[in-house]
Amino acid sequence: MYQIITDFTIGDITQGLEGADFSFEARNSSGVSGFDSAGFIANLTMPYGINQTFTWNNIHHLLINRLELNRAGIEVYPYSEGDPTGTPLLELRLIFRSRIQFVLWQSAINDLVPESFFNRAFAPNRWLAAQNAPPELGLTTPYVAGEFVPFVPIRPDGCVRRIITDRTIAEINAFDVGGTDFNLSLKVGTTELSFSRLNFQLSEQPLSSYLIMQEDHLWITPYTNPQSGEQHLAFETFGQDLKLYKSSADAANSFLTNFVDIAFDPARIVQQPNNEFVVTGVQDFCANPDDPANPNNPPADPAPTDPDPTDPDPTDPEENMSALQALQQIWDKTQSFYGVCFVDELSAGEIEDVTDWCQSHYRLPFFVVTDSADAIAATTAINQLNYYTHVTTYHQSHDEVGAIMGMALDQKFDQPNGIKTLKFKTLVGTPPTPIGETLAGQLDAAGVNYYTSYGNPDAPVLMYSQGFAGAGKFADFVMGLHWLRNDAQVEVFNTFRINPKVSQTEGGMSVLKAGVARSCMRGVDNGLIAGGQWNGQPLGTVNTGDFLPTGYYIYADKIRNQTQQVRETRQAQPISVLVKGAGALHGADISFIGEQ
Amino acid sequence: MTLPIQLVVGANILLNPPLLGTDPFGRGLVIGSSTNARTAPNELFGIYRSPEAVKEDYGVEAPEYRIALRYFAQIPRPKSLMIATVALIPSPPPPIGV
Repeated sequence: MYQIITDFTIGDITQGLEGADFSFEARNSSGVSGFDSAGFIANLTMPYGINQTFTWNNIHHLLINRLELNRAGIEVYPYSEGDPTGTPLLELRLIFRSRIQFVLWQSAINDLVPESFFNRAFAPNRWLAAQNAPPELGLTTPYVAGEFVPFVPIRPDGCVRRIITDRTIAEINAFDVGGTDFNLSLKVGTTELSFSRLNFQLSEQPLSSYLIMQEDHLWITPYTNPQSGEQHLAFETFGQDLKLYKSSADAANSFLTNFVDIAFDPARIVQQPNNEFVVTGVQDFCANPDDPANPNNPPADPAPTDPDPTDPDPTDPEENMSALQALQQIWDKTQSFYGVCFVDELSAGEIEDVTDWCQSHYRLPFFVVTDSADAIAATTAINQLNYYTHVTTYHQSHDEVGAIMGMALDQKFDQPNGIKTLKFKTLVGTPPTPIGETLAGQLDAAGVNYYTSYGNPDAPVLMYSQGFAGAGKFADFVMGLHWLRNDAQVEVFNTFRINPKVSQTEGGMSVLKAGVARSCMRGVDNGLIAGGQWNGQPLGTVNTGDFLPTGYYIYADKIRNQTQQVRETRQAQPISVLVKGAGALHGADISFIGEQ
Repeated sequence: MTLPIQLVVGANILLNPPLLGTDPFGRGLVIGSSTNARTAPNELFGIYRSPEAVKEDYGVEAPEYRIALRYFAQIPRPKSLMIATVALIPSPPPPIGV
């Protein structure tokens, strides 16, 4: 972060001007086309009555709003080393601040702007001779250089809201073949913005060294992924709501590719009821003052020497891995588990990563979050992405994750009616969480589970609620489908193994379908599947609204319909199975109608 | 001197090939980073059938033991628990670029 603070206060700078103009320029050396210089002319009159000449970058606006970000990536605002809100405005100095190195210099004085801002704002000893300036700036007049200071976020809590692209800058650039353009719609707070390819200037600059763009309280800056070391783009605001989207009009524009399509995974782009396609995954990030990995913090004391170098060293980032990496490492060695939990409480981002992985690997993670607001935020974020494979519980003690996992995994798929719901179940040895009705409603709405007491306070019943697995699904049904998938997979595999050969004929297909049917019949026995009306999409001879008496229907196209090309790869026809879950009752309304 | 009747009547024993079983849906995995007494070749993970076995490897102070105690306390009692040990510290996201 670079900054320049004026030597004199706003009152001194503006005193006695009475309508005379002055001008100055801020310039940086990035050479980004269109952003390399910006001047503004201010018309200073009475002490508070500072008028502006230009619509953007005006000191009047600056002094009223106490914050102004201009197009050169330099922000200007009133500054005091003490409490700025307690200091009269005229006694404040001005600060110019940017993440890029920059200088202030005096543009040509002419009849329209006869007064020099610098003569009024800076003492003579602040001036540097023009020949000392970096030659690329091409300065011919004295200037004031920006001083490097450790990065201090502008918001007092040091937090930003941000979106990081899934694709790297190189991948985004690779899309730009033959000058293809793209566009992007953005909303920062209530301000709507729109950018095109030219705003980003991705391919022409060494992006590692400076930010790309700063406008309307928005930073677009390179972000280095700590694991891969690859550069992505981060869109950041200082706490304002941030939305990247394409409108239905953008989506219909076949001439311009939309930035969200080339920079983000399709799973992150969610269609809204108003037909906007919005990028999900906005993070709130606060710089942790105690984090030694944060280069903005002063260097930490040297770490004590590790007595045994083979021990995992928690202070060495080289030796640590993320929760997801840990899970992947174990998966490489063994797949002999189903439930997953972690000894440490995970952050919202790690919960999302682990859930994503588990959903695609048919495993069920259990999370306990010890703060109700964090639990609601984390679950809401991942449920919006339609993940239905996680059991997240709000409880004051993280260790209870063991109790929840032990209770939930007790599903006896090989026994008649061996499946149980999680709701109404007691956790042995686990204290309840005191939860009011309001909080319970919020937790239910967000899909967070909890363990609390119900009923008469003198003799309460402790039970687990509601058994959610995310995105409106219940954990017992998700576990059941995971089991059914694996059981049918094993059946078909074993069919291949027992038989000398399964012919590529209708007879062979029947043998495979019989294996799937055995799994489904076990599903009926254990209570996962039951007969009912099929309300989903039609398949084979089953139409929407048909009654499935067995609760399942297995369909594969005729083998004679295979193309010769597919036939020569010895693949069976794809088998589709409709499964009607038996479901479970979680509540009831009972009315008593009396008569005498 | 006699000849084996195998020369006249061939008879062989054929066993069905071993078949695959389903995944262990009743087994949970706990991922932690506490030091433990397991040695190669089971350094990365171990399968435990009682909290006492966990105590032997991890001691009573480790969070792995506290979680295992609660896991095995449930009724019906779960049959087994896998505990894996990695160099794991959930880390906060990296700082924004300067």
